[in-house]
Amino acid sequence: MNYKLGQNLIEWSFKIKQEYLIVWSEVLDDPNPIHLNKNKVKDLGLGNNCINQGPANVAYIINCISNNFHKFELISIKNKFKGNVFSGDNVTVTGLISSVNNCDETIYLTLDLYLNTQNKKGVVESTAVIKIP
Amino acid sequence: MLNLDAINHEFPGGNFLISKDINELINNSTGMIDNDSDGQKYSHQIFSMIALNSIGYSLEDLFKFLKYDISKGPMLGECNVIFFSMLEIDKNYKVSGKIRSIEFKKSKKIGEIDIVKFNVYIHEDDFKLLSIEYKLILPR
Repeated sequence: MNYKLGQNLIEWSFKIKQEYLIVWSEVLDDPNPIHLNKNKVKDLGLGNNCINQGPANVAYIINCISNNFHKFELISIKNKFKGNVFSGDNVTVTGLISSVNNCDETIYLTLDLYLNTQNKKGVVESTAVIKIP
Repeated sequence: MLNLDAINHEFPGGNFLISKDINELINNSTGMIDNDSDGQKYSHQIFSMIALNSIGYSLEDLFKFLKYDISKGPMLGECNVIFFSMLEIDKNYKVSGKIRSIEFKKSKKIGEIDIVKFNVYIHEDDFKLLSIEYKLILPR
């Protein structure tokens, strides 16, 4: 398969439900009230609904990679959290191939990825390196 | 004021097992359609970050140790993961980690903040499989 510099990835989308935030708080053993109590979020001036957990946001980015490359190995992923995803948001992940390296007949791709909500683009900005076997 | 003695503190560490059920729960809660044709050998890669629950402290304990009031709303600023191997389902891993630094900054958006950087490592026996760098933003 040919990979081109600047090639866009197929967009991935998902709707965030409060029940998912509850799952993540339990799995992470994370009592931070911003994930469970929207009044706390309002008190802190951070928004009007519960804030999604950061690792869940990164999971969406990884899901976009999985959706685009059915066989791949994730070598690294760097994530900058630029804003919040809220319960009830519709998120999309967009991205492109920013580098292609062929080393000993193994292809390594660098991907620039962006998690967007209906209100803000680039809530999370990620750079991932994947190996295509 | 945060506990500055926390710098270079090593977490107690712990063990980490990814069951098939918890992997499915995470897949379902993130919209992941599992396309692992190897009979679900490997877990979702996000378990690299979920391993934070196995450093030997709960997040609540970690913030207590830092002398930070969790009700102020700590946030994740950055997280960088390096994979030396994929994590497998139903395999036991060791988790360790260390607080690297604490910095003070003034943010235009949220005012005075402390930035705590720490590393988490996932091992199998003596082999390091993953390295994760966290940067937490703690509003004052």
